[in-house]
Amino acid sequence: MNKICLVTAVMTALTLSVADVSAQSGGFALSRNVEFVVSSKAGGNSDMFSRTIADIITQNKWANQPIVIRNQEEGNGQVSRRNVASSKTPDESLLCLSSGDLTVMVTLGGLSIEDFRPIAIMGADKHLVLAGKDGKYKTLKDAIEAAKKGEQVTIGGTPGDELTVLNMMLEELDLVDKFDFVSLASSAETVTALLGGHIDLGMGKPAAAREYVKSGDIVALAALSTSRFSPPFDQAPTLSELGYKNVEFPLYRGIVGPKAMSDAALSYWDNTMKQVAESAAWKEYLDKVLLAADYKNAAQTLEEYRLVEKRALEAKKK
Amino acid sequence: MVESLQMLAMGFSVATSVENLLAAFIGAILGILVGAMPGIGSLAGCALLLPITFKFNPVTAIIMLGAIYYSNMFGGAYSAILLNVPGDSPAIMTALDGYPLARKGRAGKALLTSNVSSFVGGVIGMVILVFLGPALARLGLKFGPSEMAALMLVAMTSVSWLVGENPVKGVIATCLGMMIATMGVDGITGNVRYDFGNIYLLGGINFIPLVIGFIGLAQVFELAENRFSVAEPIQEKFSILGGLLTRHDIRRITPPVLKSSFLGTFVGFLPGAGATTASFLGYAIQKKFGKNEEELGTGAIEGLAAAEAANNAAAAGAFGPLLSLGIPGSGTTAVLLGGLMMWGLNPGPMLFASEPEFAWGLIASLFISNLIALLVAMISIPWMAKVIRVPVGVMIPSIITICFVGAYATTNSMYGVVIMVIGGVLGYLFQKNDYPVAPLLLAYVLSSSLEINVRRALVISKGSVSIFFERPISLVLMLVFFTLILAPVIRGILSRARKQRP
Amino acid sequence: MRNLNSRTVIAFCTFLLALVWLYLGIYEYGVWDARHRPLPGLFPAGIAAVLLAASLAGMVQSLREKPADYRRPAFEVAASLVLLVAACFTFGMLPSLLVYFVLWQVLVEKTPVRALVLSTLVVGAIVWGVFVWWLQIPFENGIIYDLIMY
Repeated sequence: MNKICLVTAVMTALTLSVADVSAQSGGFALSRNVEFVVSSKAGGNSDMFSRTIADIITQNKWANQPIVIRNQEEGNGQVSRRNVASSKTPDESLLCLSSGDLTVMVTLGGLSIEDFRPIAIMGADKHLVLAGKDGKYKTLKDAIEAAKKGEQVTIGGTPGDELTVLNMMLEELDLVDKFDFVSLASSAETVTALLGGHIDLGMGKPAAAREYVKSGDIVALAALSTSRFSPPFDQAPTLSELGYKNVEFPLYRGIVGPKAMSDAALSYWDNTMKQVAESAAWKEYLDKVLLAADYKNAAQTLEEYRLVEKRALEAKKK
Repeated sequence: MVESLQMLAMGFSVATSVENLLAAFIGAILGILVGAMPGIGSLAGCALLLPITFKFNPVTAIIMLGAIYYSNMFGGAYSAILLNVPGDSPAIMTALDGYPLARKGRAGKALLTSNVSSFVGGVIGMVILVFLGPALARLGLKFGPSEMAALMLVAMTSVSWLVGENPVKGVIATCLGMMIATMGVDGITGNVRYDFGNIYLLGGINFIPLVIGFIGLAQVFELAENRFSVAEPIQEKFSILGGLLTRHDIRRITPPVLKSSFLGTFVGFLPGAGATTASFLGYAIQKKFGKNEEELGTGAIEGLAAAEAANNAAAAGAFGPLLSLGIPGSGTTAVLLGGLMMWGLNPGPMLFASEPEFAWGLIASLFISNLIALLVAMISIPWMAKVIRVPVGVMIPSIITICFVGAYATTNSMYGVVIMVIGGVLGYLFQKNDYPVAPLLLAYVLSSSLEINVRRALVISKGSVSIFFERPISLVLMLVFFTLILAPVIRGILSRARKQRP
Repeated sequence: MRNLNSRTVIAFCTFLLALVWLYLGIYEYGVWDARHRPLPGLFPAGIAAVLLAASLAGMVQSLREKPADYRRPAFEVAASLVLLVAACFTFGMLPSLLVYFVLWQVLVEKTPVRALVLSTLVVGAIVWGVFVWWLQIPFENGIIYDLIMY
């Protein structure tokens, strides 16, 4: 009998420790812990992004409940996205979803942006064309001419957003399929490959390349944006300066909630994120990671993400 | 060289402030704990603690994280040796010889060997880092796709040395490992392969739960079957003397430790290869080329020493590209990189110049963490070794419980647990039917890197295989590869010819 | 005398797996494209081809081998693992583990009470201290819990 009592007591204690619900009431208030899901591992860009937002909200007491970051990367992140879409606590579920993630999500199939309610876009990454300082091509024009002559020009990048913007650029330059794309896993790998002279050109984002451009080991040949980047990338011309139409495919870093999120909750989060975007702490973060300030509210985000999804579906059909 | 020493001295003065020493100490303990838990490796440990360290000042924070990373290599050996459940992937090879040693009643010796080898490996790694860091990092840059592919080929041949007597089964195991690795997203195109429509399989099969199951859970099966034949728990004569290394032991482990340390450091410098690959190569080379008194795999301290020295050396080596070029040398250093950026320190070619206090302080603190980790580990040996005396009946559910929890932790969902259980059943079947276990795991680790690099190289060369023979480094590696493959064949032909000669 | 033992079965299973991989590799993912570049199916198909041959060799070899002997404890462990996973999905991970931990020792191992309590406390402390409190892993709550709470 003693055994059973002990077992029951311990079992109850353990079960209670797992139960994590604290009900609150009043206004539009969050009624439980907010779960902010990140579909990649801790320490990565999306993770830092989410934690910074959560910290800013907590420090400014804009939420009456703690915000808990949960990393869940299996199934390439698709599992966590599906879980959020069908969350049973929609008002307290957030998902960090960049336009890159969205593209992957749509390509893998089974989910759409319509399963979510976009809340905000908090920043954007744009791309650069980079080359090693001892690389074959000193300007983008050199590379374009070489490719037109039939020489092999290798360009590295990630097979997600960087490949997309590369293709957009090649279309504009009338060089479709003329650059040989070497698929790499991350911007760090692109930088490594450029430094080692294994590829001629590379697609990259400012944050990954900044230190190398500052030290001179890597040169930025072009800015895929409507205006030049800030230093140290200010030497890179935009495509329009080279005589073409500008090409850009910003990687938007956004936040979404599940479809079932209530209107009251949506406007609460919409407002909160707006406050975060305007805060000094956020601006500091953007500077640190070289993210362009590009705040979009819920309605604008929905529009933007629908465009991204459309483009991804078109690419998939090809 | 003198300048480096001067900078290092400055670094020591930074690292030995009370705050930083305390951080290193706490980091060392946490790291050992985290390392010993199956399913949580340095990657998870650092990543989970990263947010907390944002509140500290950067130097202290990175010292703590560095200590965790480092001592993780010490900790992983514990569960590998005592329970045959590798704490994380670099500890797999440690389990191969460590656990049999423990079963033979010499757990203390195994633990001490592993700690000492880890320490020496770390020291050698860091000395190389200090003096040759930037140069080696630049050399590492020269390893592009074709060079990495060639290196992986060489590494794959060493898998064959672990196969044992039955080549057919070895080939099957290796191929299975490679095929499992192809499941999930294809690194080159971003498309998914072999997911069979299952949302979880989109990410492929996670390695760590697979390892926990394949080796650890399979171990439980074995314990259960033999529980009644092991009349009493293994008695360890637990005197300090019994656990110490004799002079003879030290002589035995010195060559493998030295060799593996150099090898491990270099592997750590390579972008994309980390402690796991290093420990495996160190072990395989020891098995093939080393002088081993006992058969490797049955409890030879040479194998244990080789694996542990290599993985710690690689951990040191991984800091090289991180500090001198801002390129992460392994998964965990990638997390550290993220942390550095958050603190406003920008690792890159100019880090040593712009933040010398930080860079050298970190290096100096790694030396200190290494020492602290060694001390903490050594002090806990007597306690740890008692674990082996726990009766089998309690061990079985305990191991199962901890494995379940650890496997869950790797994926934050039951998926990891399911993989682990399937891996466990598979591992048990493998062992029962004499299929070698190590080749499957190692093929898994190496094959995705091999495939990706071969494909990238072929894009660069426009489909021509000559790229592997044109570039100097990959040419050398390919020659090594062919020599390794052809040598046994040639030897076989020669010996047959000799036999025919009257 | 033909021995249909587990070794043959295993080799046969790998043979089938190799066939699946080979088929998908060639037809679904493609092996080589017109621009002299390898496609995603090349590598897996190649490995599968090797495995196919090796599996055949393995099957032949297994006919000459002694069958492996499986003992009852192994089945006990296997069954309990499967049940445990099912329980985790239904009742949640931590409670299931606790119940399992205690039940296994009581029913199968017949450990004395003192050892039982001690081991439960120790393992419980490790699990709770490291994984729940420190690392804050969100453990599976199980279907029943979800049903009750929502």
